Amino acid sequence: MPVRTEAAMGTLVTVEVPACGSDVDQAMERAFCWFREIEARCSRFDEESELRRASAHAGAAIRVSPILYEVVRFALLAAEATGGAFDPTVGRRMEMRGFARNYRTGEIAASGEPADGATWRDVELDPSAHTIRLGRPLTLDLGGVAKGFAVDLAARELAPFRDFAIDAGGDLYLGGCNALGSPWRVGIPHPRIEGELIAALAASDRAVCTSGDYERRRLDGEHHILDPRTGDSPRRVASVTVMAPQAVLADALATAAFVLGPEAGIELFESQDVEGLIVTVDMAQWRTRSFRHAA
Amino acid sequence: MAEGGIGNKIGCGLACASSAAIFAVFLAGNVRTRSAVDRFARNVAEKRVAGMVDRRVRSVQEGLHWASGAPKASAASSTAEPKEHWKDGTYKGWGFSRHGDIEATVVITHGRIETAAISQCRTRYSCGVIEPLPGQVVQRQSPDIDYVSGATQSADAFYEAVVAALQKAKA
Repeated sequence: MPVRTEAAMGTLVTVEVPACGSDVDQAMERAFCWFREIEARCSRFDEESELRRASAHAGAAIRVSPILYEVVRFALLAAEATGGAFDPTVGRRMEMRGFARNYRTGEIAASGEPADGATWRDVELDPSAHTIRLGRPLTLDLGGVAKGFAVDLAARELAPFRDFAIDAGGDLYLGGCNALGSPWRVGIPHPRIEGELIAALAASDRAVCTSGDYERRRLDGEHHILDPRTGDSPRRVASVTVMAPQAVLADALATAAFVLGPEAGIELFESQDVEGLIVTVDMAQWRTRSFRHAA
Repeated sequence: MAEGGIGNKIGCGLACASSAAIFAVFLAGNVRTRSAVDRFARNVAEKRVAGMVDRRVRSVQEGLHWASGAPKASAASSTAEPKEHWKDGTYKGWGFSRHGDIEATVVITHGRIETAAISQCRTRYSCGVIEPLPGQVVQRQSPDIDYVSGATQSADAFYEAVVAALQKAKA
């Protein structure tokens, strides 16, 4: 069974297709191409990326590629729909907190300007000219959204084979069935006990995104998700899992729920018609009505 | 929505926005036919004018009366003249939607679309609702099919699939 793993977007990406044949290999190659392409355009760690170049001139309308434009546009829609709990303009504050290392080179990426009160409202898009304009100097962090996009585009390449799995470090897409002919089973890691699962779910033609405070944690309790409204790491939630039709949607909503906390997080999931599980730091589990464990 | 309250929906929710964005990037990345992108833009514009049902949509809805049974190949007696040159053969192509994917098979004989069919229906919903569309492809000798009210995504996927198949017939 073809399985291939590559490093991309700060994580390991694994693609698995139970079918065989040269067309599978070609589709797998195209799937990985999307990861490379999107990373090259949307990374905030690489000063050569299209994102960094487009962010270098605050105040000017910069024409960008369809990829960058659509990723930013979706990020802004997600910011609006979550009342700013998800906000792609937290990039500068992430840098200030030391989340600035390029995973390939180890270099510190810093755009140098001080953090300020920039929000998603400072980013303007012009749909007819395909331009992005930053109302003030800010750093867009498209991390999760860009990775979700890459997963979804890779899923489109593999869709003709029906059965496939894409795992991009917490963002998964499961097409069809596994090699045994049953829906893919996805284990959700226990946020505090390494190697144990707190839940498992069955997924078919769905993206599953899990985000935990145990990833990239700093000694003082700060982790990789910031509340865009306060600049601090939210402390109530230990992990969030979202199952949705698209990985980009699952990723953005999981990040937002981390910030919102369990009550408003579940409310957000219900309103956006996705399934979700939120585990708080006291290990209480909050679920949407539709969330079901795998049998 | 001026001040986005938590959980407020934008149109049909963020899921629509994300699938449209993925579709747009996928099309741009694959540099498929320009018409596919235009059609997508038209479709989005059309959705904004809620409640507007044009003649074409109604004609398709009426067509549903005779659409029944399993998907089958369609051949029409009176057809338009092809506007493009296609090589004879059988060609397959895939179209994608957030509800699943559709494979179209197009048979070209003497440079004309002889039959068009939904050869694989992997959408969450039955492809029965778009069954009149293959006949339109043959009749019009073109992938330009009608919009189907209530099944725009499946119709778009079928359109994309026919475009992909015909692309191979041109090569």
